Amino acid sequence: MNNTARKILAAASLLLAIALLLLGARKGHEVDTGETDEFGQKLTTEISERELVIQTTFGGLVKEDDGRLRPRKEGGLEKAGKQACPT
Amino acid sequence: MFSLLLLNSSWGPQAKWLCSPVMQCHACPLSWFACPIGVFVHYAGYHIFPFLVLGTVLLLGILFGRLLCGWVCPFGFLQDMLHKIPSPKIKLPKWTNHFKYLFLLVFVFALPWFFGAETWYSFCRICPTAAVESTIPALIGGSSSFSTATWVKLSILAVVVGLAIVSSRSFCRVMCPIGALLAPLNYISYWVVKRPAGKCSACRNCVEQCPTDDKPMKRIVKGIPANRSLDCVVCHDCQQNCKPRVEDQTV
Repeated sequence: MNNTARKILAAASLLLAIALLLLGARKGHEVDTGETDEFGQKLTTEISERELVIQTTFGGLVKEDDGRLRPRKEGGLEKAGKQACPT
Repeated sequence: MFSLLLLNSSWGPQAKWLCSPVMQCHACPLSWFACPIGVFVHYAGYHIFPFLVLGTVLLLGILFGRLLCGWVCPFGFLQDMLHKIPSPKIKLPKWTNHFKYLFLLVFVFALPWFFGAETWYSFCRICPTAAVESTIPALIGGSSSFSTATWVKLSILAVVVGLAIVSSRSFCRVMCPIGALLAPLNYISYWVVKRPAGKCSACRNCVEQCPTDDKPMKRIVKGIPANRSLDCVVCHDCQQNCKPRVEDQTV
């Protein structure tokens, strides 16, 4: 790979990385809170990508068969804190 | 050593939304940062595209390449210390370096995608770093008990430790999925291992000092930076041990 091609590829990859970070900073994910309203409908909340990353570090969320995310523990989303991941 | 303490201590800030692309297990409650492999495993299981973690790994990889492997990764440091233990030394065949890409594709992405984030076949279940930083402390502390999964993890750790003693940085070369992610970025990273002034004297010091047996002399004689290679961990040992040609030095 010559120097020019390397520089172009590096710059393009840098822009891609920044774009991914900006998209990640804005992205939200819908999660079941584990509670229902008076009609029995599941209540959901939106968490940020940052919060989802934190939840993955202790396996706080599981994916249902219908593709929805729900908290592992009953009672809603767990505060992250210093918890161990079950894996 | 500093990063081993820094990445796993209770006195630091908790920034587990940030992935540090080195082998440190976020399952350790003391861990400051998230492990990108653990996050990729979970995101693959959730079928969600990992914007934040991929952007972080890509950004750090473009800026530094595998410098993080050579200077920050605590598991790399552990292997370097183990390799100092006197023992017969062996060189693994070059083709074994390709196994880490299989580990990345199969155990980090494919198996969690098909079987879920909690699958017993994900990389987290066999990760030797997790064995050192989470499983063993949990066993000692009594919060975990021996099971088949524990024995599998500890067995893999034993093999990795044994190989690290006889073959330098064998885990980095053969198994590390973070290394597999960062390796291609060595070709375009802004961080460069420059050769000291003077032409190559073919002393082969760089070849002998290279911890990953990457033969940097092949690139150095062509004027290519030594770190432009998939398996270079950018330790700078080749640069520090390079002797310029005597006749090129000013008298």
